[in-house]
Amino acid sequence: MEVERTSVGDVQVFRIKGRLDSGTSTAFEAAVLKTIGPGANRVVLDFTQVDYVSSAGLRVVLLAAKQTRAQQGGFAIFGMAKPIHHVFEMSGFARIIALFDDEVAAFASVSPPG
Amino acid sequence: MMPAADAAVLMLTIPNRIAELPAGMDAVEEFLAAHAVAPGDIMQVMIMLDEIASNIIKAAWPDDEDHVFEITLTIEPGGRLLLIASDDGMAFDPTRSNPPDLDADLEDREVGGLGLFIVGEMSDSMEYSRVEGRNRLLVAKQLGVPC
Repeated sequence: MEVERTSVGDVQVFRIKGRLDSGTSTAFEAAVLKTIGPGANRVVLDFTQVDYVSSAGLRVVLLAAKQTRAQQGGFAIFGMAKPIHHVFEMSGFARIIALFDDEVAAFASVSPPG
Repeated sequence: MMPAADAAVLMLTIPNRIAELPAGMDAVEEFLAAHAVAPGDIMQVMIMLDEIASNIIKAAWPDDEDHVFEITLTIEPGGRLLLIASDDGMAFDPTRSNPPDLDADLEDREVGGLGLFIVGEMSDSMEYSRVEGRNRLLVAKQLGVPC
């Protein structure tokens, strides 16, 4: 698993490549959760190159979503393949996490109004 | 259970350390791809294996000693996949774990408890037995069924 972080304005984008499972969740957690805080509360995850997500990866996604919410920010994921979307649906995450097909929509959803 | 004569079988012995798990996952991915399993099915089997193996690693042994557990994958001629996990850790029946609250809001949603639920959703059946001091979990899944 590789994570590449870029900032676009107030939004931090994490492009993730590979497996999000128990073998990689510690690195995933360290890369994403550490960067969320006051003034750094708008996060977009690019799932275009994610192979699969197990509950260990879902756990980090949930924590990141909770943290950005607690900081009055925004959190969105885009570009997940259909089988991964299916995992988000069966676990109830599709209802509580903002999921988008494309990057532009994901950005718009976490950006401050105006 | 004896696999059919022309079933494909992969047997792995995995140490009880998360850092050792990716090597096992790689072996499983290669095995499934070599037997022409569809990418969507491969993904689900990888997820199930991660859930089952990480549970064993985290919970089966209360000590800090080195242990190993066995994972056996069988692809039957009809395309049914059997995943058998066997460990000599503490007795634990994964088929009796509490389901997560899928309807909770973001703020209330709890972080754990999803793994075995996902295995149940992705498989056709889960059977647990405790025999001669070993946990044995048998998970069956028909491959090639669109989700």
